[in-house]
Amino acid sequence: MKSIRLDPRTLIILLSTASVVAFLPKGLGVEIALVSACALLQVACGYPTMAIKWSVGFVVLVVLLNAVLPVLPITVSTVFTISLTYARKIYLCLMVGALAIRSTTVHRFTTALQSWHIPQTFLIPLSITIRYFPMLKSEAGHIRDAMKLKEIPPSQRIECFTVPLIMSATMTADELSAAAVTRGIENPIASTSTERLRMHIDDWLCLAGAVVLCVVAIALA
Amino acid sequence: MEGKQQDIAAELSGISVTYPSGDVALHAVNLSVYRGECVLLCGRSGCGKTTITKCMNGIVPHFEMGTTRTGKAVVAGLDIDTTQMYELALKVGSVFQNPKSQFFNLTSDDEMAFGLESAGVDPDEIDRRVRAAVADLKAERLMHRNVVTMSGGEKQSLVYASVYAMDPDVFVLDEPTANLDAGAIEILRTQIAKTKAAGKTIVIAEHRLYFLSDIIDRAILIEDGRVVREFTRDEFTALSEEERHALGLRTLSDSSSLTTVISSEDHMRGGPCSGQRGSGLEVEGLSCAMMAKYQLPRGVSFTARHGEVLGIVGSNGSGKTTLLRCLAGLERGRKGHVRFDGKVLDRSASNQASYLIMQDVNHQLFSDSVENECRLAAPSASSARIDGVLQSLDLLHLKERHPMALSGGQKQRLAIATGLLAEKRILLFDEPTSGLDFDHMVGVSKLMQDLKTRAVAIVVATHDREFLSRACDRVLDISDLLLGRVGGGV
Amino acid sequence: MEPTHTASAAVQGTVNRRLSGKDLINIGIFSALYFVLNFAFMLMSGLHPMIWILMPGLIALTTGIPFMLMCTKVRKAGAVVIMGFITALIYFVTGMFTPLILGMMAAACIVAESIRWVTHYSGFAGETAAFAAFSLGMCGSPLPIWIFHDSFFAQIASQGMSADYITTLDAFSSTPMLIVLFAAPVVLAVLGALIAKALFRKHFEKAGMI
Repeated sequence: MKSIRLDPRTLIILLSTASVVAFLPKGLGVEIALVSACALLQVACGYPTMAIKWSVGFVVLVVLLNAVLPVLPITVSTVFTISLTYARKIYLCLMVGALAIRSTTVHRFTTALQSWHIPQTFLIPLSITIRYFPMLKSEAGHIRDAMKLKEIPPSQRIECFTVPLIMSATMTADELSAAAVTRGIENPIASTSTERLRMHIDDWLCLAGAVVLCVVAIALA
Repeated sequence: MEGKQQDIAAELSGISVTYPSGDVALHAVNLSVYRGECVLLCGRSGCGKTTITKCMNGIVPHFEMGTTRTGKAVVAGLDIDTTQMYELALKVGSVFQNPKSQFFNLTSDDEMAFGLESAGVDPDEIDRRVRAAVADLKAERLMHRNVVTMSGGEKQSLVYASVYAMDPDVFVLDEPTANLDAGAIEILRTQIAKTKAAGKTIVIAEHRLYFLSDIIDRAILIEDGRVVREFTRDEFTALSEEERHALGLRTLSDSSSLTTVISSEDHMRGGPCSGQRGSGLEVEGLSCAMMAKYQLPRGVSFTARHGEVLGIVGSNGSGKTTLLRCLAGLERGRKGHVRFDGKVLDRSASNQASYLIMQDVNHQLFSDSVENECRLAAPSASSARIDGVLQSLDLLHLKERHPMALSGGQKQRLAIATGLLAEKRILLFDEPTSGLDFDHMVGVSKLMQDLKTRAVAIVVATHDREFLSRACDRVLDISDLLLGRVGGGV
Repeated sequence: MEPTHTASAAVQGTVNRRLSGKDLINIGIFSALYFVLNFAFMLMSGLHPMIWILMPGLIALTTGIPFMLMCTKVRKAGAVVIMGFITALIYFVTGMFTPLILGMMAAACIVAESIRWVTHYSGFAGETAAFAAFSLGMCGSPLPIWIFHDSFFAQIASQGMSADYITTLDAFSSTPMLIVLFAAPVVLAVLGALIAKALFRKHFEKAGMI
């Protein structure tokens, strides 16, 4: 079966509806129905493993909250109950979020936001932030390695880690800006995109389904 | 040139540039570049060749605040002063030194389209131009990939291809090979050759000259912010070694023609110890998780004696770096034996005994002054000892300076100073001459030879043949090491 | 003699107040640093309700450097709003955001921008005040404990926790705790800003990077 590819705009709307449903009081039956719907969506988009992991995760979560934590000593249960309950409430958002991250590139996402008239002033920094994450990770790794080769006293470790990292970030910002500006990033003309996003029938069906589920959940609340 | 005046692609008239610090970078420079030419700007570090490229792509004066520029610059028919950077971007393409910080997207396909998207080009046209660029530059292997997983050389190729896709008239390249290994430099060469064949104009500021000897039309020597000499290609390649050295220029010959003796045998291994000194560094069957993908299971074996500088060459840049990191105990899954003067070193002992001077020295400078950096490395060292080491590395006069305010070469020497002060026994250098001009490269090779007098093992990973022949006593090829053709194994 | 050009003011004209390409990239990079620290504490807050309540404060303590650096490099309107927007958007896409947090962050950013505008984008006091306002935005994360109190505790009760437990947990949703929630980011933001300033003096200014 061919998997569908959702437009990022659909995913954003789905995330929003999931947020709406999140803090409504829901019976267990309704929760299970909603989680299953999300899992089905993940499968339809071509991520069956993701669907299985999240479904199993939900079961584990419910079991932990209902059966395990109540019988543990108060000190232990205090630590986890509030956060796990919160996780349970936003579970749908997390599921749709996981799908969004796997199935969309930053480029597609910013193109979608651009179609909603969010200006480049916001979209450019957003792209840069996400693009910088992997580099941040590798820079941090190099600095940690360099620190291993020196015996740095614990009191100075934070400073010795932070300073080169910030220096590196500052230098990267300067170099990246020079490259960006010479590539024409400041062009005031509307940017085009090779993504060619369009809402297809799959998108509309998903949206319709989400709205229906949302209404039903509100009605039952 | 033919009698008729060719089209001028770029012209600088009376350009003088002063940086905010007050330093004068260029004095009344006059320069003309004709359409279809490839012009090399060469000279010592700090001569002003980079500044000239900045005047050509608009970085000076639009981008660098506080830098003043007088004179007139017209590139690709556009007056730099009155043209916006994004308008210049359509006609002038720029490639800079650092492959890690010139891309904006995480997927290569999106990156190729980036410049054209910013210019508002129709998506179908973008696809067409990207396809044409990929075909021209034979860059298929770069497509449909995650940029993060690419090597430095591949990233730089991608940057070049992305700029090429914008189809500018003039290409301005500012030391594009500074961070590349031999294989990547060759690829860049083919990209530049293709660009020239397509009729574009290229201005390139470089230290590394050997890969350009067939491509350039003219070479312009810059010194202290002035154009001092101009050569045609033939005149330039005809320069003798002595003339080149006097001008501070790197070799023009193809790397393979330099005489370097690469050992196919680790002939010192198993021999008697030299003098009272220990047996040095002995490596047997070394491997790690990262190296496993391109080496034989029996691992890497070699020795580095006291009193010799061992060079490791080969175009596999990542293999050399991984080997050094593994030696220093920074890689996971380390197997095999590392011994220094007979004593076995496990991973954490390797951390303590080794020092790696990294390709990017900025990662290993932590303190707020040169002196404090030294104190960090050797808390119990006396001031006299610290001063002594700094003096020997020509850093004493910079004692109060912040490490990040030093030049690249000074930072490198500071890293070496901290290694010496920490009494590290194994000194590892990863491409210590990237981006260095001739005089500084000679300085580093002298430094290597001086370090030989101390009781340390010195291993240098480099692809710089000119440096190799000066600094290293013995040379091993990384492929030979990885495939177990050296050392006999365990 | 040709006219001197300093940052080509003639060409840039009114661009001085608009965010340039360089500004946008600086904002992007420092927002990345901000987000990573923010996210780290968000994860840690799952360990204990007390950490969750202190989370906005702890974030304020540690994110002084990226925020203040960005303020120094981008002395224009919009930097803080964009940083907030990026943080909110990434959290939203990962599913970890609620309309409540979104609302609070938006309000915090607007207040911070106003403070910066009023203090003319210079002066340590103004930047610190803006930072404190900005840091209050994350209070929307633990806030549901108070605002959706009933829904929360109904769920916990329905999961079968004992009455003892519920009263213990309820202590966290008391009014004093609410005060701690809002006071911590303000106090720790000042501290975070002072740490950032000390580090700037010691390193970045000395190295000529600011």
